[in-house]
Amino acid sequence: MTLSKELIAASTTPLVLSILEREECYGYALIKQIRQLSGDRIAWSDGMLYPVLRRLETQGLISSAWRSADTGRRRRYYRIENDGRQELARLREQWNLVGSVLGRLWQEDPLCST
Amino acid sequence: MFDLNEAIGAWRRRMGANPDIQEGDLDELEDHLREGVADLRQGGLNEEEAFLVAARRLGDPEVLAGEFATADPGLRRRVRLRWMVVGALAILVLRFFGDVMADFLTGGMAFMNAGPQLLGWTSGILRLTILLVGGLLFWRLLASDAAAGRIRKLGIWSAGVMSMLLVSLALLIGAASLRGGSGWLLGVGVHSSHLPAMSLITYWFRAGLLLLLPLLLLLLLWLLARPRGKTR
Repeated sequence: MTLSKELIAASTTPLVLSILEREECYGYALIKQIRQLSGDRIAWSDGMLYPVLRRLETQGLISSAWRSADTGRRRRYYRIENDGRQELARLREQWNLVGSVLGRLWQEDPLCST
Repeated sequence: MFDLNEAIGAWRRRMGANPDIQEGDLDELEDHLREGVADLRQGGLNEEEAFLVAARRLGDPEVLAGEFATADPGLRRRVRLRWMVVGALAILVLRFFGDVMADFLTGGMAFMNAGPQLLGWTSGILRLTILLVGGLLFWRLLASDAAAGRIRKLGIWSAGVMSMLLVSLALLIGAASLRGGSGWLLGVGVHSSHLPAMSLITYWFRAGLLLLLPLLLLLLLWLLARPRGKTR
């Protein structure tokens, strides 16, 4: 099972912000984490993450800094900003709402028939 | 024989041909590519296979460039403006260089008792030559630059011509208004004893203008190069 395009587009921001809320991270590790957590079922085209990161940075939700990695190359690390935390809180409410409504609909007895 | 660094170099040039992918983005993508290759190699692929898979995973350059462009719509405009400012600064520097050389020449020829006509001609030709040589150097830079395609795609030519026209126009208007202004002052009858003071003021004004213009341009460049602030 893979996610639809629309769902991937909608979930990218909360996924990225959620990871960055835990720790600062660079692009490759971000994608790897999402792959692992989803058991390879959420697999973006790798490159697409970077324009998303750029957009989030332009919006002031995250910030980035270059540091040299243990490979000797320079690497761009991302961290969440306060605005990003607030945005994530909003997104969490929305996704929780959708999740709980769907969960109830799928578990409980039919509501419309009397 | 497959050479990973060569392949990555070629890949980078393909990606970099798009002006919407910045140098920093390229570095980041290359780091990603190399990480991907290393991981795939551990998974048992050979170097060439690992490179092909990792590059494919990163996606098509054109599509990616499009995504970058929509992620930050003002980017192109800012880059273009930055080049315009650089071009304007380069012209000012060349002009300054020409002025200094012409002054030296004038001094030297006056020393040798050359007539004013000859002086005018030689200093004019010298200035023109310096501008031409500067232009040629710029041309060479563009021709030799590996990112020449990128620059052309960005419309640097039109931007460069525009910035040149704007600076020339500003200088022309400045000079004309100075001349016109002093002529008008003379016309309305400034007493002849005030003339030295007037010419001094004009001189200072001109010097101030010549000093302020590069400073303003440098300020603009700094503003453009600065990391973007929050938009919200």
